[in-house]
Amino acid sequence: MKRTKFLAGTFAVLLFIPAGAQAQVKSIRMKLGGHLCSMCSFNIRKAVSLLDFGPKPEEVKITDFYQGLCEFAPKGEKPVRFADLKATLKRAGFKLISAEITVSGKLSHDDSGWWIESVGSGQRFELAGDGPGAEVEKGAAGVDFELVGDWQTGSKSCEKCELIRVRSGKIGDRRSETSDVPFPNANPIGGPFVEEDAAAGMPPAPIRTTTPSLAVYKGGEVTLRYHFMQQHLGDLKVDHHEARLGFSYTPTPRLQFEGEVPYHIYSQGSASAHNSGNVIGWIKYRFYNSLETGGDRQAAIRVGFELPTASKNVVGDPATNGDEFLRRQLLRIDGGLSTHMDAVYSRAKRRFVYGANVEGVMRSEFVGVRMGNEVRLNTDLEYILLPVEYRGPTNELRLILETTYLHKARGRINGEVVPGSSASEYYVAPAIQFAFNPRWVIEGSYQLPVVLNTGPRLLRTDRSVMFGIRFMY
Amino acid sequence: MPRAIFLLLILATQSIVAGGQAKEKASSDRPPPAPQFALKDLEGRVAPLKKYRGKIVVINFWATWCAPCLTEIPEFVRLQRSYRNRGLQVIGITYPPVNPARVRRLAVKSRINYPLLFGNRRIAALYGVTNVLPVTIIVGREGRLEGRIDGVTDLEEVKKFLQ
Repeated sequence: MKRTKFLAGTFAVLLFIPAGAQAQVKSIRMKLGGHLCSMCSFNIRKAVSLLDFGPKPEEVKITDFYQGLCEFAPKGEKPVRFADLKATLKRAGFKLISAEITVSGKLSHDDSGWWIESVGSGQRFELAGDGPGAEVEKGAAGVDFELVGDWQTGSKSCEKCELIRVRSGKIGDRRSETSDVPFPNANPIGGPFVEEDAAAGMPPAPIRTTTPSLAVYKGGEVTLRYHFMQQHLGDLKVDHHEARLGFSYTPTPRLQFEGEVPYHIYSQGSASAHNSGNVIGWIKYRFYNSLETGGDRQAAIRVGFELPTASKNVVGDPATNGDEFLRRQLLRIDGGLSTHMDAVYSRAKRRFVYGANVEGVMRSEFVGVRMGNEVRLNTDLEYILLPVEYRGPTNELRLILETTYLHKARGRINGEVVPGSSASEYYVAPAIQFAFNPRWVIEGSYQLPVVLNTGPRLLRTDRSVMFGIRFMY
Repeated sequence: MPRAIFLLLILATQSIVAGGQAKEKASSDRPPPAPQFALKDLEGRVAPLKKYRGKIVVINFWATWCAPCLTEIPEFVRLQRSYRNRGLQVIGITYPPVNPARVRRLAVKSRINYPLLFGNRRIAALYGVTNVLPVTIIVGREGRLEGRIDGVTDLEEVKKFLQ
């Protein structure tokens, strides 16, 4: 009898442990809006802990105070509801802008679509998108699946359902990013939150994954910069006006794609010329990224290719007495296909942000002329002057000091070295940057040469002014 | 006879000692008195805590820059309205840094029907308000600290303490 009881008890314990131990909703990451202050953060913990599925207050982690990023693991056996989480945070004075959920469970589908069912709570999460591809249909249905995605309550078909827009998924030990995930129509970033805030006239700002200073987004950026530069070579004095339209897109915190399209106007007295410049494309990989409130660090390498897209036929070609090397400098036709390589380290420490990068440019010949290869060492020191009480990148004023050391190797014409075409220069540029809100930023800088050890065949830079506007989407 | 007197004396001594101990225990169980303060209100008048002796005082430490603090203000307005006649007084004490103009604007906008006092770090520290806002303190009719609620509260949570 005793033995029977013991076995029954053991069986019951064994039966219970797996269900309890499989906390199917593994984590919930939240992006909060509203005014966050250090003394208010307790309220986030308290509000979450009041929910049925909320853990103890001390188990709610504020991972990035400035950005309003928080994380917690809900009680495994309780069903979770985005709407309840949003409501409790609203009562506490915070706006839940978005939430990312990590769920593991069995993946299934029927005519209404795909869903994942957690074993612990038995809760069913509808998955956004039309359905998986044929390859996944064979393997994914009925298997243990772990997915990460944007979470909300309700969809057109089911108002009370919990809905996930999948960002990445894992079958067994194999993790795949959104592109590999079997939900082709799932919106990896904006998703439900874009729809939700559309009524307010504007989708919410993208989630920044580190401090604003380090400008890492899950999203993108469009930048328009205007540069004005005065140069001289002997008695020749020239003005350059250049517009640079830049794009960047960050699909994951590690990867970033960038592109830049320049357009250039040159003027010398009453003469002027204009032409498009070389288009540059970059891939940036952040191999180190440490997220800490007010103390993020990151290091990255960047590889770029400069394409020889600059106009060959220029309207209003400058008179250079047949000096092709000078003509190329005046028109900013830097050469053929060039490779850029760049290593960068940056760090935020409370109101300070500092960093440095080393960049190398290997230039190739373009119609008989090759400009010199370049090595640049840039440093950057920023101080967040405003707001006095920092709650995020709104009405944020930064004072910036940038320095640049540039070494330019000698150029070549038809394979022959051009004497006097190398340079070692050092510049200092005080700058200012103002973020109206997390989307719009304006910036300006004034660059001055400190050391100009420039060869007699190269244009010398006297001053350079830059104005820019950035939009984050 | 002397033996009987001796026994009576022992009994009397024991009862006195026991009575004293019980009194001591009872007094040690009583909550500590609320730290006294005299702070200026929006009109610049000094309002001391002792002015509210005999009432149940609900002290709310808050700040205009603390969003959670602002969400509970309507609850305190309701509380003051409902329980004023039953001897309850809500007092709002601002936590520094404070912008007086903003406090005044908020008082008008939120129709605050209880006194708002400009606090300081020393008073806040006396009440143990150092790293959380808002904090609500319940002071009993005898001027003792009867309860404390950290973080945003609502009418129901305060009522539990009042009961």
